[in-house]
Amino acid sequence: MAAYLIKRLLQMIPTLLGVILLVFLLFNWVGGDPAYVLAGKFSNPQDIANIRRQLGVDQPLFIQFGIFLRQVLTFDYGLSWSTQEPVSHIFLTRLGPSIALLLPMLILETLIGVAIALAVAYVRDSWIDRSLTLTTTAAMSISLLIYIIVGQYFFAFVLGWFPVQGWANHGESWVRYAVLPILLGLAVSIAPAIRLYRTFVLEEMGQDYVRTARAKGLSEMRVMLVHVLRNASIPIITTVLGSLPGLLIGAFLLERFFSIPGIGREVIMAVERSDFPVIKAITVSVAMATMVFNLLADLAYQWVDPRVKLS
Amino acid sequence: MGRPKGEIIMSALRHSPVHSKHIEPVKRDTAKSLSAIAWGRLRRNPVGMFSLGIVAVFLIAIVASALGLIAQDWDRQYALSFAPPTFMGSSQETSQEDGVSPSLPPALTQASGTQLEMYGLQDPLQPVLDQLNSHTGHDSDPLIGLSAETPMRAATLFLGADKWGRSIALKVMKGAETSVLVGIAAALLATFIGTVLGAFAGYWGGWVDALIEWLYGVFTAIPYLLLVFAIAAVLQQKGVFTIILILGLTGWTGVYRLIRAEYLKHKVREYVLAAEAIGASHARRMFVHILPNVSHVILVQLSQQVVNFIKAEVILSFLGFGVPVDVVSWGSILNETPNELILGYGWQLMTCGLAMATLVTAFAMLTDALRDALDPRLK
Amino acid sequence: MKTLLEISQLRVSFRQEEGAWREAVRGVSFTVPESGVVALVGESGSGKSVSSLAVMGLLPPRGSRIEAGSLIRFAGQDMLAMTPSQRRQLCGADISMVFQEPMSSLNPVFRAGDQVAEMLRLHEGMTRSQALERTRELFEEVGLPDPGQKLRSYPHMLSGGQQQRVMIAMAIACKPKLLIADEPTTALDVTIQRQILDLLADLRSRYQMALLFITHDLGVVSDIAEHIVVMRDGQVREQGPASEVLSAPKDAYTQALLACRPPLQGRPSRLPQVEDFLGAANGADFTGGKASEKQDVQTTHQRETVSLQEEPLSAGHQHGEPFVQAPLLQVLGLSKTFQIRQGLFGFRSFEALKKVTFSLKRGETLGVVGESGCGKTTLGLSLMRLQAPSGGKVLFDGIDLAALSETQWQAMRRRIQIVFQNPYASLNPRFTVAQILMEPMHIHGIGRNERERLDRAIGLMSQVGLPVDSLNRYPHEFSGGQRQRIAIARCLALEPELLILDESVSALDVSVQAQVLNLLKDLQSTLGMAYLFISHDLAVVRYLSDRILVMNGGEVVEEGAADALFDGGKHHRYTERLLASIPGQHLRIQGNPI
Repeated sequence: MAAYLIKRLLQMIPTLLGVILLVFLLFNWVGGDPAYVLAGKFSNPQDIANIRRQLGVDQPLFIQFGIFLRQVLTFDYGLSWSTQEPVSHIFLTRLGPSIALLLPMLILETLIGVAIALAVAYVRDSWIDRSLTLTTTAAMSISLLIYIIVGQYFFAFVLGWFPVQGWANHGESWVRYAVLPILLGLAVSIAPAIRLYRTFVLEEMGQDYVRTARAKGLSEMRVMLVHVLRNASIPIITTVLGSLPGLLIGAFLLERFFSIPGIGREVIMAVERSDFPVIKAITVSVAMATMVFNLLADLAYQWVDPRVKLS
Repeated sequence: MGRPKGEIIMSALRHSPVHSKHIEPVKRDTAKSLSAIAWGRLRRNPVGMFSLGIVAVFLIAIVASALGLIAQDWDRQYALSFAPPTFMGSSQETSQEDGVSPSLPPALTQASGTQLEMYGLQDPLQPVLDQLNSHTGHDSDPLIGLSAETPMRAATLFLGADKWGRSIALKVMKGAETSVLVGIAAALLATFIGTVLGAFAGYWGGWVDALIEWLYGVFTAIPYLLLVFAIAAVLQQKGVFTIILILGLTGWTGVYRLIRAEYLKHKVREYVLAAEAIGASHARRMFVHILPNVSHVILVQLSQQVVNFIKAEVILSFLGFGVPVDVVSWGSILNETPNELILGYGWQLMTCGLAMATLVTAFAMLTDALRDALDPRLK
Repeated sequence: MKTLLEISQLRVSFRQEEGAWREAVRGVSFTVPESGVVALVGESGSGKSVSSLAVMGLLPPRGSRIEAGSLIRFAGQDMLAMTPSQRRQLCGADISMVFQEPMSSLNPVFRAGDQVAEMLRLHEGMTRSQALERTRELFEEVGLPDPGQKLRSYPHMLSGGQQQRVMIAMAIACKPKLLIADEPTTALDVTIQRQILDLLADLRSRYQMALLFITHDLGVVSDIAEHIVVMRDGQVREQGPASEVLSAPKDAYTQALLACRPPLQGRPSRLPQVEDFLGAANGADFTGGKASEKQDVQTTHQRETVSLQEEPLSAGHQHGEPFVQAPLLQVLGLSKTFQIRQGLFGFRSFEALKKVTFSLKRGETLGVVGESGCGKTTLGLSLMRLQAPSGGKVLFDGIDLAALSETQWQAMRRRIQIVFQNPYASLNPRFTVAQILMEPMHIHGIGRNERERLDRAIGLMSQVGLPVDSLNRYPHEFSGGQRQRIAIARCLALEPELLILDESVSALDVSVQAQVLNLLKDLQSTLGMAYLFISHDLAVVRYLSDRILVMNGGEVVEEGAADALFDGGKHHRYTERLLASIPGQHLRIQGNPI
């Protein structure tokens, strides 16, 4: 086990380096010189040179790369170009709301998705199955934008059931603020989840061991909930764990509309304001988190599937 | 072929000494290639054919729009602000009702469109304006339009008007052109990249695979839209072409994964070994032998990516990171809608939303139908 | 004896892709007496498996239906009239089933012991510990070594034979009255097959169960069956006591099935084929879909009379004559070691071939026989350079193959070719037959233009006995045997001197196998090719070969003349085991029934 972990961690290094390199090339090379943008409309060469020096973009590229590398390793990306807040501070404080929004969504989406997938497979009725496919396809195709625009307008603005915007970090107010965004987010994300889990379940139902289970005289319920589900849970768990990285910025639209101070909204604002340090920091950090989550997913996969040996 | 078939068969038979023991008939009337079978399956799928029809209609309209046959004058502001759709009838209190009408002094929005009183003065800019008018061919600026003939501002339009009096129907049509073309072009680019990389990685293995896998790891470590945002933040100039490039150059990862898996699977299949045994080169094996067996995956992925990229473009343009200001897309249209809703106007949202939902749903269902039809479950 | 299972006028249809329904089982009737052994015999597509699935209620509900007028009665109860829950009480407890592929029939994520215990807990109401204890006893009964450890093992940790024993333990756990075994040994090596058959016979007598045994192998049947039911194309062709059916079959198809297996003695120049027995008058038993080998022959040629005598071959080598020329192929100390990754940086070596040495003369057929994992397939692939050998030398016509450059090898490829085992995977599904045949010509520049290449393709088709209009068709429109012919034709396009046949007939039905073997023999006599014939089936290998190599664990354990194999003389220990495992020996050695 330890050998496997070490091997995986070693493999992660080139990927991380690649990400750092990619981000660096994008922002320090292609993105080039933001000094003009930041100096404002009326600036003189002095200001520009000053800004350049402060940002460090007057140095040769490889020195800049070294600086960036150090920033990554120490998790200190300096100050935000627009708010002058320390970037790491921004990142850490915005993390909470994003997770508080997306974790419930992920849990609900998985539970409901698996339940519906099992129910449809159990019934084995082609009409129900086909209408479910059509419904989920249609639900997926309507852009999240429209759900949010209509939902926010109707349920919050017109009916007044929920607040139109805002956020609270915990307690009962959190529930008030979180319900509408979570429901709207679910409306979109649950459709592909149902489709995917349905595929997993159906694939398992076509396997030989299901025929054996039925030949043993087991009830259909037991066949599904014990035999099929246990096998289908392998790809399901892998999928769920693989979607964890998306937790960090997946809700950016929801955050923007509902003014929830999360990482996604932060990224959008940073892009609008060309706030490079913030974007760089978030990108690299999310990438690192993704790699860690993938490793966790692989470990969980090995734990769940007895056929897979740690190699 | 020169000689009649029967004669060919007979002469071939005569020349072979072993024929007599082994001939058996193959009773079939028409050769059934896998594409023909797939088409047959698709035809028998009512949902699939219906979706195909809808997509075809949209595509025809989009091509017509791109060629300039329709919706050319989408940005002509020739209706009243927020004019309702024709089938709803017009609301008579048009001139004073909205206080947010931009730039036009109230006096100029009279429904009757009377001529402006010039008091005998000559407008020094008139010759220039005339020249401009004759060039553009239509009135694209409300002030230019205030020359001799002030057109009557329509009280209603086919599907209503937006804040500046532009026809919603034409806007949505033009927006469709942008969004769908971006979707298709980006999908072609991404699918091409993903296929080539997947083929090489899956077939060659070894360090080629390791290198491309590393690239894949880097690109997938960053969540897709985050990567797109980052690139959008860095590129100062925007344009439709830029978006296509961004979406295409970052969106190849899903296709790559599938194609690589397919090549890994097929590389060890016996028909490929047989091709090696008879002496086919690597390139021949990769592209002449294996690629046709993978084409169904490519096609389905292409269709799926079109859906994904249309949705992505809409979100990007909504946030302002997509198309430039003078280009209309579904995303930029949706950008206007939250404020409109608060003012009580929902036509643009409904039209755009309906058009989007229809096309994307139809495309998605077509993708599903294609996947079922192309499923190579023949023995 | 009382009747336990009665099937009367059973008709089962499947829905085709275009929406029409096709009958797979067309009015089948037979009975299984209490404690009796009934063998249901037929080739692929005969409907034998479908019939048994119908009894258990395991047919897919949406794509199939049992037609009205069918009757399935078990212990007096009408099974088709039962509710699903009533049937579930029977299944597993009174009727149980063992399937063909034990690896996929067991749930991969549950331990073996738990899966068997589930039966006991469900039908007999035992607690978990009681059930596991009883399961351990069952594992001992079915001959699993170290039963305690096997309780905790997952299916993938067990070998094929062990998995099948677990399946059998599961099936007999509740002491059923009827055990249905659907091709239980087909996927197993021949020595393991022998053990499983003996086990089934033993359990049957101990528990006094009735056994419905489904198979395509008449040899297996002859060892265990009391009654035989022969099926073809969804109908029963003949049924009766085993001794009668096997020694004096009345139906032409049964006669054909018995006759077209390669005999263990004697060497007819040609194996009889089903068509020879059924004749042109049998009409087209055409059940739709692909054309099958069981089609009748066109009347554009003369009918062959059935002959089992030794006949002098028309050209080429006479069997038994010594080969005088220098050897075509010389293999000296060929070795192949695979490095399998283990741990963080370590490797484990697996020796697939250990210093294999033999030679092959022009026009000669060398058979290579052994069970799975013995290295015979690796041998074939190494000779074709589809796998790189780790050591040793291979000389072809005196040329050292390892010393050849890539371009030289390309020329050499015209002289050595290979036909693979799986007819469904060795032809490119997207190519037409014409493209498949002309591909080697394109690569090697045979023929000056497309027209010439097409002519050659036509010639090849007739050489392997396929109609010329098949050239425009795709592989999926052909049956297994026809596809193998196309694969053979593809090789012939290059006019090779050595043809490696890697289990080329193993995946084919017995009657089809006979046709392809006949074709191979004819081609050899016409074209003078040497064959390296790799197979696990001793009888087939013996029929075709002049000499035989027996391989085990990567080594050649015995080499000798083919005829010497069954002469009763002294052989290597492993060879003896192989010979003893061949099912239905008494049937064949006593001389062919017809």
